[in-house]
Amino acid sequence: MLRFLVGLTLVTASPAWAQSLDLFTKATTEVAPGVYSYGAFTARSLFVVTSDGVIATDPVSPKNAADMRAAIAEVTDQPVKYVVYSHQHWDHVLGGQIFKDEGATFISHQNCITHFVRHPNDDLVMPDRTVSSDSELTLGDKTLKLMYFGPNHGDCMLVMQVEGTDVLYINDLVTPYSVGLGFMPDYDPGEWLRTLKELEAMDGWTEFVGGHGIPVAPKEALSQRKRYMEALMAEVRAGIATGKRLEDLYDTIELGEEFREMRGYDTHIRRAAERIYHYYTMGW
Amino acid sequence: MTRWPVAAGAALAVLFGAMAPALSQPAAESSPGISTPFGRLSAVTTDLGDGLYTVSAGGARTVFLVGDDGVLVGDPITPEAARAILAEIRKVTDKPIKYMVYSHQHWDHTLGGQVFKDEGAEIWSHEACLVHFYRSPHPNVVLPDRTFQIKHVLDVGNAKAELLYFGPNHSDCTTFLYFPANKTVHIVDTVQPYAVSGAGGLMNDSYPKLFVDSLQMLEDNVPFERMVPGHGGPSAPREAVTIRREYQQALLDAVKAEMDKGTPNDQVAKNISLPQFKDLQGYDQYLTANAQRIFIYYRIGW
Repeated sequence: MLRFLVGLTLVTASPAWAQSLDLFTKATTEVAPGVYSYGAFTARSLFVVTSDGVIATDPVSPKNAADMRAAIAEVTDQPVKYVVYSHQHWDHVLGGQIFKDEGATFISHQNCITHFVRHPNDDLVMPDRTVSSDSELTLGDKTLKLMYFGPNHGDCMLVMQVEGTDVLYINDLVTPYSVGLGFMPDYDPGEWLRTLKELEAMDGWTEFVGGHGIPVAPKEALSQRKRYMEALMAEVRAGIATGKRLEDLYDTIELGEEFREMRGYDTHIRRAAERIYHYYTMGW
Repeated sequence: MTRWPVAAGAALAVLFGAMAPALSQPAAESSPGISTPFGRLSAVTTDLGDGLYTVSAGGARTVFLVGDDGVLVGDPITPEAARAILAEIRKVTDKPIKYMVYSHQHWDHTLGGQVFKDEGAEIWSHEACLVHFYRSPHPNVVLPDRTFQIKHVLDVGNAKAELLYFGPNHSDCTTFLYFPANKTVHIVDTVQPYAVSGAGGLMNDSYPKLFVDSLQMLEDNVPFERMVPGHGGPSAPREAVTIRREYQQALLDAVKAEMDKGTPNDQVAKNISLPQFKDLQGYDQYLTANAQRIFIYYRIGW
């Protein structure tokens, strides 16, 4: 998810976790044995150190990829053998060349290919292989599960989990304790909510690494994001049912105390309501 | 904190076609009143010659083509509008409705096709619309019987319509419906003549960059002299397409240049000004929102 209003608005977020948050200083956090969360609030990725090399995920940008490569070198001398893209958006997938140069194989969901071809970018390394449904990537002593839940935030999102750990990598479907970007250009709100429900109902995990934000968050942060989307969609739907115009919804949308504390609420709630309005009135 | 200079009510007005007062409505040649959720609207038909007619109803605009063998009709719009459109067709001809062609998937154009299906119409859309129709089912959307990919010609006897696809623009399944006999192309929503991008400026599922390519391909490959839009007045000259393409390109260039200057993210869209396009409908209201959409395109590649 794109955070183009980060920084200056942060101080308005009240939860304690936000007060001490350093937005831009990248750091490595081991979230399970051999599984690392790397990045800052602006963008975050996962990398996995196995007995036979490293599996990295989203390189983000040439600069970030170089920084992440250095961070990996602080943990292991092993080469990066795979790079897995979480989804197609440029704020996560650019800059992979440094890993390509050391021989890494790039993987994405096959639906990303259409986007990559339609919207070429000089800083993008095209995937070498694609997956079309739930898959497993085994390297050395670890297996990374690649899970596909269908369209949601874009239509090629992979959720990942190192087998034997209780940590998921969920890029952009949830930014912990944050509302979504109001614009939601290529998002399918209904399918997104379904995906969140399926993830919530899925056993075998208790924490997750998001594509932005704090290094690791509890499952409850996903549930909160689900409740936010349910509340937003219900409010807009009820408004339409009672004859409210988009203008009325835009001016009056209000989801209550729990959600007002979420990061980005004030900035994005009106646009989010507008997006949902179009979802219910235009079928998209 | 960003505050959008958007009167969202105007967005709704755009959505339902109140945006183009500059394109004066012709004198009503016929106007059976119909009720819609948006008030009582009339179906107004304009004869464009060579068997081609355009009808405004239910907040949008469609076309129909009358040939020796039957009739081809564009978007049904809404069930009420579709019944009014059929009544308008029946004032001109009693020939069968052979084909109905969807312009794209959005519900403000695609509801009510059952009216024409019941008349025996074979329903067409671009194949990429199918995904949308299946993902977002609606009881008043009739699924297409046939789809095409690049180009398909439908004829109703002597009169022909070309279904043309030039890639994603306003939607990823937009059909440009071209009537070669009188060099007229029906372009729904991708070009609203002499207007910036409306519907609040969000262009949520639009393809900001391919949009330009799409219109350029149309201009390079199709010798159209006028267009019939999907909202507002009956027709506009070819230059309306060119101006819209130039506005889109100027917007892309301006946003990219602003980002390349290192302008802070939340300031980029606010800094955009395109005075050469200030006379376009909606410029004051939607320019910043249009620019914000372009900014997002350059950030996430979508």
